[in-house]
Amino acid sequence: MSGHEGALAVARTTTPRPLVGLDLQTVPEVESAVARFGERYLQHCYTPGEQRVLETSGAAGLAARFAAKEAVLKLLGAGGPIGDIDLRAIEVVSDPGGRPRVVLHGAAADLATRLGIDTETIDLSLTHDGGVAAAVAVALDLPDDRKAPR
Amino acid sequence: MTDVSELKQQVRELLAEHGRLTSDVSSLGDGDDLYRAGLTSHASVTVMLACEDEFDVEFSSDLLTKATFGSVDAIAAALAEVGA
Repeated sequence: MSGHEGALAVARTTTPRPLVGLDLQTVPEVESAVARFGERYLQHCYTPGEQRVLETSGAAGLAARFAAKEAVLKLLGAGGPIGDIDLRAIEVVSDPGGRPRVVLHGAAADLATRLGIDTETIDLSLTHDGGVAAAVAVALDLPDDRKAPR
Repeated sequence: MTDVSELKQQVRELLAEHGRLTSDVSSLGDGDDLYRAGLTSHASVTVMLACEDEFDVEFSSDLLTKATFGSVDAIAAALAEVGA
């Protein structure tokens, strides 16, 4: 291997790669689900902390958090309807400044570790307007020498 | 326990009401991929909850998978498993 090829090989294994997930969720769907299924819907999809968003930001806030969960699932490569990860294992919380961030629990945290994703670097951005909520999640894929053994 | 064909018909009605599919559910075969027909993540949750209400059952956590809600057949099979 030449010096240049060697440097590229080292860069591929030591340079974190950005990963991204994006999702949209309509607010009326969430409103309808809350009205139709109430606590069962809320407890299936959202942690107690997330459910409190309904009081402060209404269905739009919940819709943004649902989109955030799906965005993180896509980032983890597990996206898709229901998926095999409990939606509550991906929790959207707010830092002291009000910025959203994600906390992974259980199977979601395990999957991120197996995939070599640095969960501390998962960044979220949420928005909602005109009856649609959106979320984007970005993270760094750990370099090979920092990934957990499989 | 509900007859299988009747179960599938009820599942189709629930999909028509809650599934928000991009294809008319009557045009789909029992084994057709519902996700390809437009079933979204959120809609799959509401379909699941609607099924629980309609049949007075509760899906166990091991049945809350993508595969379970992938087709009319799969949903009906899961419902039969939980006693619908």
